[in-house]
Amino acid sequence: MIRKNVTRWMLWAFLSVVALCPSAYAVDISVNVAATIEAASLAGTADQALDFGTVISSGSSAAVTVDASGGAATPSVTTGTASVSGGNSGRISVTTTLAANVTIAYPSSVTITRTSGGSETMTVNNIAANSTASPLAATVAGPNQIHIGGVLAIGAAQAAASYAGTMTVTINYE
Amino acid sequence: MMPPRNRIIKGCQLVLTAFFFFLPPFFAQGASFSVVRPLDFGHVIASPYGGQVTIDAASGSAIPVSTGGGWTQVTGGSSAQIRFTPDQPGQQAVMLYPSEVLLSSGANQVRITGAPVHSTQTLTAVDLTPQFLHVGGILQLGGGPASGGYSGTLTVTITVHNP
Repeated sequence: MIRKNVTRWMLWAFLSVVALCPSAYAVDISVNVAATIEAASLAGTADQALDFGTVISSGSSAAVTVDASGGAATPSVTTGTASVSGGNSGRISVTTTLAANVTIAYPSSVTITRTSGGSETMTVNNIAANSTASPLAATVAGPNQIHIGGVLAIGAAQAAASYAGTMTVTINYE
Repeated sequence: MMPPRNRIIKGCQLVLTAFFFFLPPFFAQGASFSVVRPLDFGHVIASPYGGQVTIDAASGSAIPVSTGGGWTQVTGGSSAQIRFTPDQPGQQAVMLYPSEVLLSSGANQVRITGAPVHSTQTLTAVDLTPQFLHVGGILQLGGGPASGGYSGTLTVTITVHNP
């Protein structure tokens, strides 16, 4: 009688174990996720001014060109009768935290004005054509240099004086 | 009045029934999972135009790569790894990943997408040897996120199918 009861109970218990064992179950696992993000930074420093030097004009119109499209350059007379001494192309040093192409936007022209004793002006044209081509393939290590030139148009009756002005060059990631 | 001998038998039945009643869940929950390595998108230098950093761990351990536009660069980082220790051969783990996870750095947030595509989908235990599932995803940088250390949690729901 006892053996029969125990046998019956064990069979029941086994079946209940089988019946209660789930065939599938789910668990949630949490995984930490991290990222360190650094916004790229781009900066330019004008470390050399564009200088057309000292021009001696003959009294007729002339043009003095600084062609820095291939690198640092010095002025030369390209139109008219004049002489030029000294001067150099301008230079901007670019620093970047990202190796990337950097676009360079030059003004189409810049006006320079007599610095004292008058308000006469001259115009610098063809800046982009005589400067470092855009885009510039900049590296993190550098050096990344933008050389700036242009063509200075000298009038026939240009007043003898010192002239100066400002050129704004815009750089950006391509 | 039940004879004492029968009462003892009934008592034993009750105790053993309770034991067997609570036993199955312990057997069934034998497979275990533990995170071995977090999901790390590394050090990202983000282009102001955005971009993406992808860890494609669908077929195994992987590292982040810059994808999807911009000049974004990335160093370091790796896919997450979870150890699956089966408790019976033939056991299958099926993973369900969230479609999107937000990482925060103070008030700034970036999104992680693509985990369902770039992670292990299923694992089947051949024997009781532990196996590893890998978790990846896509870090969406939007329009140039703010600098900072971003963190968050990705919850994987794993369904274990017993053979």
